Amino acid sequence: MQCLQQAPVSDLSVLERQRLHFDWQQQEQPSRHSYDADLCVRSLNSFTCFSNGLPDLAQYSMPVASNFEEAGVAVSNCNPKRRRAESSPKSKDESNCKRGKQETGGGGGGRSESRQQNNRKEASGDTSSYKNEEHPKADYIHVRARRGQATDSHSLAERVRRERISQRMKYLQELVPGCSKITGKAGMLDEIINYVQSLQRQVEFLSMKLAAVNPLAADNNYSNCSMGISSEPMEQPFLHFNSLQAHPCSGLDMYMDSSSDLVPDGSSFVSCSALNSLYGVEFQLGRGTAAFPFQSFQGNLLPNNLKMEI
Amino acid sequence: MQLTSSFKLNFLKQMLLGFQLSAVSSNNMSFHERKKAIKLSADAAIAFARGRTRWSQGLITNLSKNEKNKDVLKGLLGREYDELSKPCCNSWKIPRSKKILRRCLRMSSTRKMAGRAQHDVGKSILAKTLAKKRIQVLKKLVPGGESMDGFSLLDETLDYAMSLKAQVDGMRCILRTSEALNFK
Repeated sequence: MQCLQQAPVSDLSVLERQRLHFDWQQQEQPSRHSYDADLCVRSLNSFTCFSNGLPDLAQYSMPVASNFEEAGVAVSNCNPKRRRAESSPKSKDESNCKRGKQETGGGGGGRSESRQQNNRKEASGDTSSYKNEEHPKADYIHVRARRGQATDSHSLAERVRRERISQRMKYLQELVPGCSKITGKAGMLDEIINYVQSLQRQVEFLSMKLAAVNPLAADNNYSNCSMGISSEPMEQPFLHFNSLQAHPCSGLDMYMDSSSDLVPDGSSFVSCSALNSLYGVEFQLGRGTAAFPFQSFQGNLLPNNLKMEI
Repeated sequence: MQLTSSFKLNFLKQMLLGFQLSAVSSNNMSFHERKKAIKLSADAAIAFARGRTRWSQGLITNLSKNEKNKDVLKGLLGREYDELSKPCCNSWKIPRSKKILRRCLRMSSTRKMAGRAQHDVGKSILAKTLAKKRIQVLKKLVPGGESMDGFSLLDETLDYAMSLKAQVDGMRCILRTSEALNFK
């Protein structure tokens, strides 16, 4: 308990704090346990309804530490007004049932187990954080817990929210190129906004280019292409459509494999034989009218081949 | 992780189908019309290929606000059109609850200010307002973003950015192909 009072809250990480609380908790009376189970159950209740709102997190490889914040959210969502004294065997049964549900929903027994541990640690942390303030009360578990829960849940919820946001920022940092050095939410958000805006502008620009290049042939050419593509699920068979024997079908493979820039080897993936007539040498617009709004683009985004044309 | 080859293939298929449906290759379209039709096909294709996410629903909704696009969209998406073009149900609740949220935030921030030191509050408030401004900008960028809260907005941004990258790559692929063929 003395170590609790001496250590400033801001220095310890949340997990360390919980560990301290838990250790201190274990010295307490066993009557505490019913309350902990009660809190566990309620946190699990709120967690199960909360877990439906979680987005496609399953597709990202979440580290185990992330379970802690999910558990923390569940605890913080506990409404103090809903608190009732529940018998310990009943609450244990409920927690077991909920654990079963969590395992099927969470996708892995290991994850839910760590969630349970974290739930209990959170729960004990909640109650124990105010122990040092008010000792001598007869039913001090209930009264104090309500007060503690009311204000502590906000700080816990904020912390959990911040951790979730920082985790998503990390994923975004991996996605956006050149963002590994930037720290801080505002700077990262700036970069993300710039990146999304530049991608959108690229789409506009490419659609303009396609409109310029795109020509003058009959609709049946496109229908040949799309039918050809739809009938061949794999990319290898595009070679069959290659009427231009000189060009290997490399462009499409590279597009499929990587998301980086393509080497223009003249992929013939849309080269149905009829397509040759599509791309006649005539251009409707004419290359001379380079009326593209280049000033709105960042310089490093212009692909090299476009510079050559203009 | 999501940028599988089947996803990209789907996107390309849909985009070419869209080109065909909107008769992009015919003579009688002006440049701007053609460009709009291409962009419509590309956006619809990427939204369709991604499946049901909030940004894809928002994108289809935005696209179908223009009456001319509806035919192309219906032809492209088929059955998915009705499912994807459902407007987000939260969009009307959000403006009302924002006032209440702001009131609560103001009250809680005054309470917190009483407890903490002034400079700490100043820094945190500054950081929060900066982040909030940027989040508002991001909400306008991501389609359907206004009705999302902070967490889901970041998730959708991640998803949307990856799909945009795939869209750009696919369009570039088609462009280079057609240009290479043109040089022949």
